[in-house]
Amino acid sequence: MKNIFNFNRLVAVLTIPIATFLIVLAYRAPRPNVPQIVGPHVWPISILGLMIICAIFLFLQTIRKKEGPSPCAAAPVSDTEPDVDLKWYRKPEMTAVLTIAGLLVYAFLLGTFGFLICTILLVVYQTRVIQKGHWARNIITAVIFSLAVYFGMTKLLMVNLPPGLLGW
Amino acid sequence: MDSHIWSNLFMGFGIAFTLQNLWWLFVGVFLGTVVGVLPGLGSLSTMAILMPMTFGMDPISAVIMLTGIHYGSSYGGSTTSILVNIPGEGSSMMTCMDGYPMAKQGRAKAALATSAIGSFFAGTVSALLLMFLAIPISSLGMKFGPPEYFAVMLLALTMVGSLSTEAPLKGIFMVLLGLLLAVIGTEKQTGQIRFTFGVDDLMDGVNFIVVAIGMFGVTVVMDESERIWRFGFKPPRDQIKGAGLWITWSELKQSFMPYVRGTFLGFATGVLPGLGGMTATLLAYGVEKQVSKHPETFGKGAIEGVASVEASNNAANGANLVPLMTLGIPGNASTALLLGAFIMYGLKPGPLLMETNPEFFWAVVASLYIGNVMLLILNLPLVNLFAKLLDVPEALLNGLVLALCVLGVYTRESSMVELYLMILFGVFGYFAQRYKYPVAPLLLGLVLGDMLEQALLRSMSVSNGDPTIFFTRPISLVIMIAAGISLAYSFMKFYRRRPEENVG
Amino acid sequence: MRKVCKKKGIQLVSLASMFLVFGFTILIVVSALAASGADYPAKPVLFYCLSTPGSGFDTTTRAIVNALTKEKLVKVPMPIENASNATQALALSVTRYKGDPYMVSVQSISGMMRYATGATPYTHKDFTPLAGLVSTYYGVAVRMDSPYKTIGDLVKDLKEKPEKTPICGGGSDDRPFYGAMFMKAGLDITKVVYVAYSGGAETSMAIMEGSSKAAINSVDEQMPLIEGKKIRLLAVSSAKRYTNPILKDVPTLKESGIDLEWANMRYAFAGPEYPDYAKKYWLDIFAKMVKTPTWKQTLTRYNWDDSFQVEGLNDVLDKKQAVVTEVITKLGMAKKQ
Repeated sequence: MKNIFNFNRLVAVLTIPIATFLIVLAYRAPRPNVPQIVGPHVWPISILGLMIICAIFLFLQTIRKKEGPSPCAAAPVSDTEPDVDLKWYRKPEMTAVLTIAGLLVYAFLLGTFGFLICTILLVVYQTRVIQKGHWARNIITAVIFSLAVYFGMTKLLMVNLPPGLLGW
Repeated sequence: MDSHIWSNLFMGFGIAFTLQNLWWLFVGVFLGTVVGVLPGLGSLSTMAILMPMTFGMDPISAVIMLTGIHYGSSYGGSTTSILVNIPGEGSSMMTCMDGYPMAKQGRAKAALATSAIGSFFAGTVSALLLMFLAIPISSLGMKFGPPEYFAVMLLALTMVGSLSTEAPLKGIFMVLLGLLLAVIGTEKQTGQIRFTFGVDDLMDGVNFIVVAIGMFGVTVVMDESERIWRFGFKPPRDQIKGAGLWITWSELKQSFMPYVRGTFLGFATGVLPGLGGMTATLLAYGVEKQVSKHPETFGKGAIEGVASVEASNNAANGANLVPLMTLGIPGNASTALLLGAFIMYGLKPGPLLMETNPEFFWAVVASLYIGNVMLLILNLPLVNLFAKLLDVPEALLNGLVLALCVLGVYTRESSMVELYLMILFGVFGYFAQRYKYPVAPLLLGLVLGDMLEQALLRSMSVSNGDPTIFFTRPISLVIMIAAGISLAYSFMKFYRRRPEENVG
Repeated sequence: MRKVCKKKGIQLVSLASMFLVFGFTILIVVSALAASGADYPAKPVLFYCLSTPGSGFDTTTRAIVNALTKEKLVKVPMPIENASNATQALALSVTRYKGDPYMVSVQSISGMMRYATGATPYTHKDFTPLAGLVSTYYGVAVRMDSPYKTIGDLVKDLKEKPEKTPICGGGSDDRPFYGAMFMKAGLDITKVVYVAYSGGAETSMAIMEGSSKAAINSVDEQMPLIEGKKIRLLAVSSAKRYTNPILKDVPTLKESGIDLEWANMRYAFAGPEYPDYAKKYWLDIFAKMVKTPTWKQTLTRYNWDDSFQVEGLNDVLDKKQAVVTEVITKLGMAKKQ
């Protein structure tokens, strides 16, 4: 539970200066001289103020109990998992990092290569992140899925998706 | 008056039951429900995309088809929420809360079925209410000014207690963060641009769908990948005990009262223009959890959660037609689109509609009944079909879900910045999940934040800065008291259950 | 990693049934959207709407597409894409659609507001205005039993007790008009309490409910409740009175002693460096469209005024931009230099 304890304090420590900075920003922003009884800065400043109070409580509180399962946890991360002996690139967290890396590359390439190519690659890549092999299955599914989505969207529903290299 | 209604309804059915109108109604509900399944395409986008199909059609057919799309899409909207945790629009976020856990336990079919049946129930009841009450309750909205709206949204906000029972402080922190995110963009009273840091894409605010897809969809993909890496693949679905079962009789019985409560709350909220489906679903979920005998199962696959949310969403959709038809006042963007279409086809929505175009009104009411039956017949077999999607190998499913997330965000506004925002919120959601910060309150704050602030500023403007306005107007006072009770109740419940463990 | 559950049979069935649904969808959509090729518009022309579905721009865009479809003037499909973030969309229509013959959009005073407040660096000079299409006028509305009989009564109260007389309008786009109107009426506009809503329905509700004393909004957006005798108009901003029997007794602002005419013109535009052949094509199409019965019917139904204009469109826009900027500066909302 030490881990959680630290994280809450980290959140609190980060929140306070950022919120203070935003309060200053909101207060100093130029305001129109229309008669506005409650100006546009009041609401954000109140929210930020409450956030600071909340952060102070988060910092001060001590953990006296075992956490119950989070209400929206899809898959509770077990803290007791003995994966300390794994090399860094074998750690389970790497799959999450790779997912994000894949998405970033996707977003970066989307404009140039187009929706079709990028999406096929994304599906195949993401599948490969957690499973070796099954290339034929994965590629065929990815191609069929992407083609169906792309043509369904652009030709039937007339929603624009980046065509990219193929120029369809 | 009563016999009048029946003869009118009879006339409406006469119009709706022509072969041509039935066909277009079917096309409307079918396309609505199928396109509505796609993430990011909620009722509004579905209608906007499909509306050109009605150009050049006979006006009554066109109107029947458009309203068909309107409520058909809310049937489809819950599908991706339940199966892969990607909410298609604000109102289906609450479906994720219990629908997705149900799917993970192998009860996807039960969740999808209860959602379809609940939608049918609410759709039909709201058509009945529209028929009998449209005129009497149309003036109700006239009693609601800015202070009342503020009070209702405050009441909805107190329901956050039911979303984070384990860690109230973290819940409050997340709701504040959501309210802060809602500040980003152009403030509507003065046009001041706040916290955009020069990014044009943020001028209109951070979009809810982008954040929701990031924090639900992307986060789930990351979590699932990690879980598979840790623990290996799940056993095949048919080996899970009780998986793949259709909704059982006892589940249906469990769902019935939530349907009734959800429908009532949804209709009451939907009659008031501008409150939005999110408020309705949130109130329904919160109330359901508070009356439940086993509130601890909520968020972990309680069928009542799905039932009441879906019922309230559809009832709100039906109720939106009340101010639209009787006053010409659209309650949200979807009904604004309907209003524009109605006028284009020569209708005059408003107090005169019943006099000038009674055949339209009654044909639409009749088509609501027929359309809801069609949707039920259409959606129950689809339940099997959609549930089979989960039989796709897990690794591959993860890849496809990620592609759906991207699609949902990108089709909305074709904005790269939003794509990056989705990724950012995916990472954010991952950490929130890991350190047990509930994400639903953040989304709630994001949705209600802007409306809450605007209602507050408007109230202050009209009262010349006098805060007692919230307590001197009777309706506002009543709702404020309700909000106070709700807040006190959730605190009390929390402290009583865990006298010493009240920290999060 | 290790092994996968293999259930090929079920997968195939589910895949096949998904495609069945998909195929059926295709069938239906294709049956409704028949398309055929022509010379210039060889592919679908995008109608890029710089606002959310249901808004004024959106209604106008859809009315145009409806008329063009119904009168079979344009043979290619005309998909409508909504961009809810108007500022960003305006930038995109200048950058992404530069020289693109397959994009047409609609714009009005809203873009001028954004330029004046500094939200966007682009004006009509940065893209290609095609033709003025419709005009809407403002109407000052009060609820049926309001003590105000003329706009003079309202101005008097606004002068004597502005804090007790909140007025409302449909968002910040309506600010230039109310500013200009009250400036002409001799009021200090920075004293007027203005409550912003979004759209005519909300402002109508606000006056019926009583929290605001008067509403300033497009006449067409207030029509349902004017016809239903829930609200009435004190004055309209058009040069001549409306011919519509319900509105013919409402005086213009000029008749009420405020020397101001104000039309919100919605005009079609395309991206910068628009090819001449495409411009010629659309001017021709619009000229034909405004003569069709469908378009005339549309104008009556929405209570819009025909303001088809090609020559001198730029001058009109220049003048309006100047007025908008002046009022916005007066209100202290202008871009900080």
